[in-house]
Amino acid sequence: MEYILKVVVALKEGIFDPQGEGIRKTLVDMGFLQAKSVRMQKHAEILLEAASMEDALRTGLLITEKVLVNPVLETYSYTLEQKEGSDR
Amino acid sequence: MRFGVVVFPGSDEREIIDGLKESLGEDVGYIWHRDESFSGYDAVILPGGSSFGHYLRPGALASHSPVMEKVVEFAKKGGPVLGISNGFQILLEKGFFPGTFLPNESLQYRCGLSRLEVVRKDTPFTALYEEGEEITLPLAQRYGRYSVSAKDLEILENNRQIVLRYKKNLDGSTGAIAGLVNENGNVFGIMARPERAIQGILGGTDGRKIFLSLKGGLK
Repeated sequence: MEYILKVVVALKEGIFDPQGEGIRKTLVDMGFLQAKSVRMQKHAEILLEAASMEDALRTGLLITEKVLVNPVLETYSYTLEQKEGSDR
Repeated sequence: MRFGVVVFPGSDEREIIDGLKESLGEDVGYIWHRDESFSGYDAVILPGGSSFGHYLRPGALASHSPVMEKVVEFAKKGGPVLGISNGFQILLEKGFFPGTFLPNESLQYRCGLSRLEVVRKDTPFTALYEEGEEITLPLAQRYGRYSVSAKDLEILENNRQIVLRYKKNLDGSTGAIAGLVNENGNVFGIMARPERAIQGILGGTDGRKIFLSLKGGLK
């Protein structure tokens, strides 16, 4: 069966985000003075083949923690759903 | 002795090979990052550059390349491993060093010379320098800011793992750390590019002693 894992990887609070700050400055230049802060995040979407939701979750968490996330700087959140029409 | 240079997509191995072969007359071989084994090398070098385009994080994807398990094994057996710039990042991602690399504090790509102090000379990589010696090496990096917790910094200092420090810490590295060895002292990460300071015609020769120290130690 197929499962879709969606992971959002974000910098921990307080860690400086140069990309976000660069964007914010551009927004200010453009007149968007209401934009007080910009933080950019990484969103990964992974299609997993697994025998069960538990199996997919186990693999998904391993992938997330071993590869996608730098635990020194980042935190993450995720959703895991069975892909529609993949019961075969 | 025979140097093995690991090549990832995006690696800058050219200057290491040229510098070692043409300038120092050394025997050098390539190790492709997908090779699961290699043999016949006395020292392994992870080059600078942008392996995998710095995708995900600098060095992150390269640290999972098949060859890295063999590099770990080589290091466990005491083999000397030199990680230059992106190579340093790859070694850190693989777990040889604590901490992380952040964008330079200036947020600029730093391309220029840096003055470093040799803090520790009893390593296979710095044996030919003097303790306290000041050397000049080129930098070429955007994510050169080494950052480590106070707790890990204390461990690094107690273990004498800090080998090089910046005289002027332009990019905000914790403790002005410019080069580290692992606890065993046989794996060395350096953010500057010693291979660009082998041939005098390119501006300096202070990098030669890193490669010559390695050679001397294995004779």
